[in-house]
Amino acid sequence: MDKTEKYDLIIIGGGPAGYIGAVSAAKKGKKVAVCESSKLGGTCLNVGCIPTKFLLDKANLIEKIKANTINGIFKDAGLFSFKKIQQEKSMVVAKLNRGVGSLLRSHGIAVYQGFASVSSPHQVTVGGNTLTSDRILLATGSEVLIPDIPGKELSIDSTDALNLEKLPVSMVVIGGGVIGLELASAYNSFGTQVTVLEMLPSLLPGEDSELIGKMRKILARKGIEIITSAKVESIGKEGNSKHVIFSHDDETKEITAEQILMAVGRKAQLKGIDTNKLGIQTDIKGNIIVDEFFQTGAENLYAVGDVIGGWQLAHSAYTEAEAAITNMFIGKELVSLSTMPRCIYTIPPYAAVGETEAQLKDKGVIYSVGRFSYALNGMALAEGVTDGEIKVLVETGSNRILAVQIFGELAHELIATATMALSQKLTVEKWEQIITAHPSLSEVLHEAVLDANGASSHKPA
Amino acid sequence: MLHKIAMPAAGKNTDELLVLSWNKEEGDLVERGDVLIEIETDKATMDVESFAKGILLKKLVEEGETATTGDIIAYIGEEGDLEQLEAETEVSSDEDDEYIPIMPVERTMVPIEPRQNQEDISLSYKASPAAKKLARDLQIDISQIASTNGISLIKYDDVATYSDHIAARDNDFELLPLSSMRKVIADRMLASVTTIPSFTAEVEVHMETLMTVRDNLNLESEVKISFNDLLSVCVTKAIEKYPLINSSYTDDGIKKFNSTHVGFAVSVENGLVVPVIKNIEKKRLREIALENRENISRARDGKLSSDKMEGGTVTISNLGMFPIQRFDAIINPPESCILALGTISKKPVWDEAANSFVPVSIMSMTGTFDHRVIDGAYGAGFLKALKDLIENPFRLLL
Repeated sequence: MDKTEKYDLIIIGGGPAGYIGAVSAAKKGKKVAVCESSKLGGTCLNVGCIPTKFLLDKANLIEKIKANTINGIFKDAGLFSFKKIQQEKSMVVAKLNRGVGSLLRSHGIAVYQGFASVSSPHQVTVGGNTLTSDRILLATGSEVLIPDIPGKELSIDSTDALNLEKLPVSMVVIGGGVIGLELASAYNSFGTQVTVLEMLPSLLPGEDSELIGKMRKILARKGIEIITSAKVESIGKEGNSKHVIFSHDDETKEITAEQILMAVGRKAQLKGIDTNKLGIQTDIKGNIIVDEFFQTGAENLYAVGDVIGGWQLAHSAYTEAEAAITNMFIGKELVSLSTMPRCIYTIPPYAAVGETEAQLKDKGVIYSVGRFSYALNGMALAEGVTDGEIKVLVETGSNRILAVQIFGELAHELIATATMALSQKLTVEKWEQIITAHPSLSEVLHEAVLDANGASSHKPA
Repeated sequence: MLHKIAMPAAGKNTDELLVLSWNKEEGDLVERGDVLIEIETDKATMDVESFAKGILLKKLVEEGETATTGDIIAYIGEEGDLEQLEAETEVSSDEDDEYIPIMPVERTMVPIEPRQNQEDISLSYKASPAAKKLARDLQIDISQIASTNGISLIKYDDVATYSDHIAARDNDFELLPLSSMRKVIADRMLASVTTIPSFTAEVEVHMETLMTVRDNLNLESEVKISFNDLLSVCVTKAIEKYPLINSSYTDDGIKKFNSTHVGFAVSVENGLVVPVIKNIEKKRLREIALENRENISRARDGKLSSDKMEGGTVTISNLGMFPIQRFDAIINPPESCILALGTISKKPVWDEAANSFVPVSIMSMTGTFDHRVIDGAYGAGFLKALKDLIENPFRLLL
């Protein structure tokens, strides 16, 4: 049934960028349509953040049970069902999925289920319908990047890994990035023998090398084998088991495992977008190029989220989408994305906001470092989470907090305080005046800030 | 069509039944009503018949094993029925694999805060802390238990059982398994002794008269009358004057029974059973004797049905066939009195008239009473009344 409908804005993609942009525009009184080819909520909700964190939450719980069985508090650790974890996870995802649907419907946003084809900056065809609009927002997101390695069809990607029905006995993770390390953490806690192969000489070079080094040691202590400077040559199969052949230290080595997880990264999803016809450019990685107002080369054709590269974080997508809507309908406004918190949900987790020491040094910024260990904090001791440290980078002279890096329990929550401080350009003196509740892990952050001035009272002299 | 044969409910005090022997082999044709197995309950043995017709496809318990009421013990059906069942159960047995241990068993897992010794972590079995402690105390190598039994988590009981077995192997003793009957006797006797405050009183009964009565009766009766039969009648009569003997203590009150149901302790191979004859006061001596003989015969064959062993209100235990002068029996709960009879032997008794000791056939009889119901004087009074009836049986006619 062919339908032609006119809208103020058509959004391609119902993921974080798409649905937040839609709500933002609807709230401004605009008539909005969202086209979604798969499931509302996009990668994040369905095959990314949410399901991963569900698994990691259960993995965390299992770690706590193990620790308390070893110290004798529990006599018997008991049994758990991986199948039930996956079932519960699906229920949570389905619930959130329905939630996004309700949210959009409640704002009167039209949702078109199907693969959208953008034929011009003002026309979209989807599922037999033709939609026209003055403005189109591209939020098609990203997909898994599968490198051209022989035997790549034997590997699974993160989406598959999140949907495994049977817990694998062993798994090789190709790629030691955020996704690879998070899934490695989860599966290791469930009982899978995990090996991570990272091509670069160190893990996560964009983050603080000291704390990432600590993370690596702790992951290794938990049984995850991490091999850096490992270049995967091929993947093969014998009978029921698979193997990965890689080169490391000038030697060729082989690992056998039940599953091979390919987690080397994601790339922009451009299916249905004829970039040439639309007159939009992509960079070398395939990301759509936009200006500072998120407009593409074609007028009134905007793009936000993973499809433009950038932070590749859901909360960045939210911010970008809101900014694009403002730019479209209110007026051109510059939004800063530099105070961006980013989290790695390993066990224990890491979170950071601001630049790393390496990045500051590169820029020639003079700074001092304040640090405080979780092991000196009462709450950490009470909760049995003494592995961790917080670093605070303070600009010499102005005493402004430039960056905070947290490795330890609840890093992803503590980072919100740090982000607040950074965005408000707080100095160490201002932070000292703020009272932090005791006992709490937040005190670790507070003490690290004070330490930058040599002012921590909880550190031994 | 596949039929499942289940273990029936047969025990008086237990649902665990011992398979004594199989009457059929796998592959045999079974008709409806054919005996499949002979089982032992806590009191007797009985046959289990097949309700189904077909081929005995599979036995799920072996001779010497126990099964609980309701457990499936055999499959009867047609050829091929079993394969179909196995195909179906393969699917559902996945459910057993669904749950795995939180603590990894095989990998050398390094704990966050190492608190155990290295040796404890690297072994390939798991044992609970209590099991490990017991093993240390008993100086047992716990890894032997794992390899012997192939169990994945060794618990305290596993260590205790293992310890018993290895002690038995060392030839200090032989460990005999407990039969259902033995377990029940053990439990009930312990319960009686620990919960009933009892006392015992003895009387010496002159048996000459009753012996003559019995001999005369047996000249005429088709059924052999025994002392037990006569005594049960005497006891029932004495209870008329002392009804609390025929009662049971409960926290809500003393249950005074309306009829007398006398239990007779009968020795059987490897144990003891107590068949009950109900409503003695309503039965003629001949009936009592007949019932008693039948009960004893069945009991000795292990074929006494459970309803014949229930409902007793007072028990008589007679060891007179042995040279036992006297003994104190243990009350059979929930009764309040048990009478224990010793052997009849000639003893010297002072005779006033003859001014000398005369030989009299004497039997010692003790009564053990529940003091919550029966006080000293009452019990003594009952025994006096009973002695009086035994020595003057004409009084039974009153």
